[in-house]
Amino acid sequence: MLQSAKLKYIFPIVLLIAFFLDGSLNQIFSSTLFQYPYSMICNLTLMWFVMAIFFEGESQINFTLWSFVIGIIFDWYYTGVFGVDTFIIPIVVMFIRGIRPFVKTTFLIVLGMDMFAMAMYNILFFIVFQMIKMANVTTTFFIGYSFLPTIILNLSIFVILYYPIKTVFRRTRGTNSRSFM
Amino acid sequence: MHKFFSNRKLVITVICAIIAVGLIAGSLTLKKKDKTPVIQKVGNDVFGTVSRVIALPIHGVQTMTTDINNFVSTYEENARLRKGIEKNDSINAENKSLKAENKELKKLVGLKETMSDYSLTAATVLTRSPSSWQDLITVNKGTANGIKKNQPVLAGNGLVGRVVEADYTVSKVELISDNNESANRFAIQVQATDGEYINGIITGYDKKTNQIIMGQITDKKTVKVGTPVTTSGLGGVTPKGLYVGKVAKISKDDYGLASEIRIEPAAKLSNVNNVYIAKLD
Repeated sequence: MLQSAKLKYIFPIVLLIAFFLDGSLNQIFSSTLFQYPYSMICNLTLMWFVMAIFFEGESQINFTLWSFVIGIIFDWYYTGVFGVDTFIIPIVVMFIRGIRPFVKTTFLIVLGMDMFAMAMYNILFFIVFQMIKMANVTTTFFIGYSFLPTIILNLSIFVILYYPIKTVFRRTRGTNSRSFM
Repeated sequence: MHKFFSNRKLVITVICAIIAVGLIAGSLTLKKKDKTPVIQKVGNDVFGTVSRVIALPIHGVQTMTTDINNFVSTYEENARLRKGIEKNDSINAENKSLKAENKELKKLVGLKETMSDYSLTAATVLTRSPSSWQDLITVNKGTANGIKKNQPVLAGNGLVGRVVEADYTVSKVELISDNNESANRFAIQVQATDGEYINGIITGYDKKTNQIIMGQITDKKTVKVGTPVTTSGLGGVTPKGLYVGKVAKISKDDYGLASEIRIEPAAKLSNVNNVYIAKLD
């Protein structure tokens, strides 16, 4: 059981790195990502959550707490509007955790779950920003402009990073969970 | 599903919803104020530091690739630029003498500081908000370097946005391309064909054509396409004479009542890496 503790430390560290990488990558590739008529947003944080939920084994990570923490930092550092991601990220994370016991852990299903999480996150985010009059676009425009491009970008990143990340989890989640895969 | 609506969970859900609405309303009100609350500042500085460390290797790679790209195009550019350099030198010299003369004349008249006296602080962009609905960037200078909320931000040679949140070591900048209704607008002016200036404000940004929209225009005068547009200094926060762009098109607004001027921005808004923050002296 001693080994399973490793993931407990690795998870938050990578989570924070992924979080800050999101902002930096968006900045560095801004001329490609935000070229009209598309607006793609790199969201490694949510992907890390989805992967961790599926591959945690028995590491007992407190996902609800971490999603809250990341949500608050997101609002604090990136948008300046508190109370948006603070609740949206935990909702998405809790939802994925709720579904988890009912599905198998195969590549396609984790991919589907990642897509589902991205979709849910983006839709909720859009609804809130539309309500506080900061988005100012129609739903059709939202789907073509931001929703689909964002999901496509994140799924491509997911496909590239799936096996490397899976290996990291299998090596760090502890001895007791070998039976999972 | 019936378990979800058990008493305790329902109460928690409702409380969370109320907190969320409260927080959103609170932060939207805070945004309109002149100063950023201390807690928000401290937090942003901490995150800014971490962000800086994580971004360091990536920025390194980016600088390297731009350096290589620049190196390739340097030869061509050099040949082209050499032609214009002498002309530039003479303009520079003239500018200098005019500036000195301007200063002396101002002293003579007794004018102390006008809206056209400003200094620039250079800053590097750290991150861009991962959100489609806000064009917010975080730069690595804050109140410690004299940055204040609402100061205009330039990139390259044109206006790109304004400081919306100034923390101690980092600050957030909202780009002109951000189309939200609460965004502050800049007072700008353009010279008409008869030599007089027309005042207006930046009322929006057209992402489709990458043009700034100048609305609420005071006079009905003819303006030539290609005329430079600058900030007018009206309002007292933005210095006068910051370059915005060139007139690209003149048309009637959506209701056909007032005219609307489309401006080709001088700075490339989709790719902002190094900025200057202008402050009045």
